[in-house]
Amino acid sequence: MIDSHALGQALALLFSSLAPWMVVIPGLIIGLVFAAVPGLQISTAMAVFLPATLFMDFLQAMLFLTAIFTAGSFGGSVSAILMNIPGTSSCVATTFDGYPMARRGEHNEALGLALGASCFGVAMGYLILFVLVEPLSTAVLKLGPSEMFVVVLWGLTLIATLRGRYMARGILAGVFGLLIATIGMGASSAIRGTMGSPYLLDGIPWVPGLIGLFAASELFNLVEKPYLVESEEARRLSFRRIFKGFAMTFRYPGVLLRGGLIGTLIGAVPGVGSSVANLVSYAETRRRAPDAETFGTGNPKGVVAAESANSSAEGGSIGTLLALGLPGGGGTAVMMAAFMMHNITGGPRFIREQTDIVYAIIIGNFVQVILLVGVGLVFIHFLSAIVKVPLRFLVPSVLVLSTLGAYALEGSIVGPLTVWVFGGFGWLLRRFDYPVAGTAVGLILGKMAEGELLRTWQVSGGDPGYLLDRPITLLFFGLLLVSLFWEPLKARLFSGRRGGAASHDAAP
Amino acid sequence: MGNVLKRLDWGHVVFVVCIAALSAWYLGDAIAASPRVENLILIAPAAALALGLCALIIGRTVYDAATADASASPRAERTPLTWSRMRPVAFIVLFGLYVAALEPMGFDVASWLFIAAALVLTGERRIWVIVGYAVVFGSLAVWLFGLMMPYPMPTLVVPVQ
Repeated sequence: MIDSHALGQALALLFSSLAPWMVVIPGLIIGLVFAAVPGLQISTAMAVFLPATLFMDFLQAMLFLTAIFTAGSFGGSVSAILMNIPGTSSCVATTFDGYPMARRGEHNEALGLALGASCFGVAMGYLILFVLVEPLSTAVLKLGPSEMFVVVLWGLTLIATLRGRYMARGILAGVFGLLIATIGMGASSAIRGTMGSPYLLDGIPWVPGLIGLFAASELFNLVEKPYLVESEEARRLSFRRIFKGFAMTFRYPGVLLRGGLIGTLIGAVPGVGSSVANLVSYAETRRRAPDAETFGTGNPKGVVAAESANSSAEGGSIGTLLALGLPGGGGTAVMMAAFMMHNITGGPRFIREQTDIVYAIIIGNFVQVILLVGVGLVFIHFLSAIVKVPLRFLVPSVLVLSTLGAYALEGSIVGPLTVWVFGGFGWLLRRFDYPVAGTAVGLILGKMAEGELLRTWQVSGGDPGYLLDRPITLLFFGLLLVSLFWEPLKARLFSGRRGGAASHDAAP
Repeated sequence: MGNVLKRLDWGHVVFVVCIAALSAWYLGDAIAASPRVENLILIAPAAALALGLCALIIGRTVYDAATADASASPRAERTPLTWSRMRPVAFIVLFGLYVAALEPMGFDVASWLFIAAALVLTGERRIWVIVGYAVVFGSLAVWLFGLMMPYPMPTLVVPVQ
């Protein structure tokens, strides 16, 4: 199951020089700062700093981006606990019990619990990935172009269907992303949609496109809000009590393990990830708890359940990225951009051929967890202050950094122009309730989808009957249909029973 | 009927029509480039699906406006166009001007002006804060990126390699 030779090489890669570690602490700090600012997502931080990975080797780039990812899993809980504002969408359930704990004067303990559960969650997610990555790649290598094409569509569909009653908007966002991705010279050398511009022959520069969709569009939204944290009261922090909370985390091993497992499994499903995992873990822990009635009033188990799940989702989503080459959400979409910037294609062949690098990324993340404990404790004071920074300073500053980064990527004004166009488009998507991640994933996977579909057509000779001989394609297609129609069907089937249950299941 | 038109989310309708128009134009352009299956294998079904979804969404938006509570006031009256709502649009325009000014003005001067204008737009009124922050942050960012970039970045004042 574990390739010991590759493991030895991974350890040599990581520990023969300090170079891979030079970027980890800056990455952790960036992740903590961005996640602690309500409204800024981890994917925003990763997109803004993506151009910096141009100057790193691939392993350094991955450690830098996963450090941002890892730290973000804890950083978002700071504002969730102190101000009842989830720093990221994956910290919604943390507010349910974290904020009541803070109002009781137990904010130090709650922050310690969040830090402990986040560290445990990240470690557990990567441990599962470490054990399963090798067999997973063997299984995935058996997939042909038709299976890969349906997997791409399935990933897009899952992201699209998260919108519930706005499913059509989600699918449209994804399909439009697919279309944009095919602009430029196609497989048959036909030039599509370039309007005569030589800049577009190679297609839309999609890394600046991602910076626009994730970072710029969100920043445009934030200018509507002058202050996010006006009403914040000064709160004194105590290291001793934060440590006490950190240690308290491990009094709930069952909650931690369940949260870690739920997070890893849900995180591995494209389009779902930590935003859903924290809610599922919280609901499941409350359902099983003998003291369920105290959830929502400051039960430490609520914080542990939410934070262990949203953090372990990282390992699951990176597993999907490595095994299928499929980004499950914003963070892994940016990571996939880093793969391509280093001329590396994710997927089973990458795992088989560069197992040492894969192991090095995973082991690097175990070390990041230990570093996060130290960095997190030191930076809690700073983090609680950064949420007071007025957005009028934050927004233009981050936009300038994004623009300069896009210029660094493309070496021409096309980079900043792409950020502007996609930033404006992303703002419209958000305004009318379309998922930005759908367009982003379509943009990333469009070329791959076209290539896999073309290969399927060539292999089958255009005979649709070929698909009937591909049971895995049919299985994936079935899963695609289930993910498309299950939610509306379930809503219709259970609509009669919902009334009473809804109030009970509602978040406190 | 008049109420339906007033209640309709026109911004959303225009947005969807634009997506439909772009999808249709792109499909036409791809067919003109090459009508072979290799060229259209993904574009044709994806564009057709996009057009279908646009029609569905517009239909749904009109239906929602028609079936909305008749006593509800029209949309335009419910959400007046305030400066706060317009600010993101103004900001997007400002950002576009910044991008357009980067090469002619230099990255440093354009960044100073953009940060200063953004601060004014979002409510900062202290001149020394506006000028000081714009110059210090803009210069530092341009200088740092200038150090890292392997190709020239046009600047007017801040020296970069």
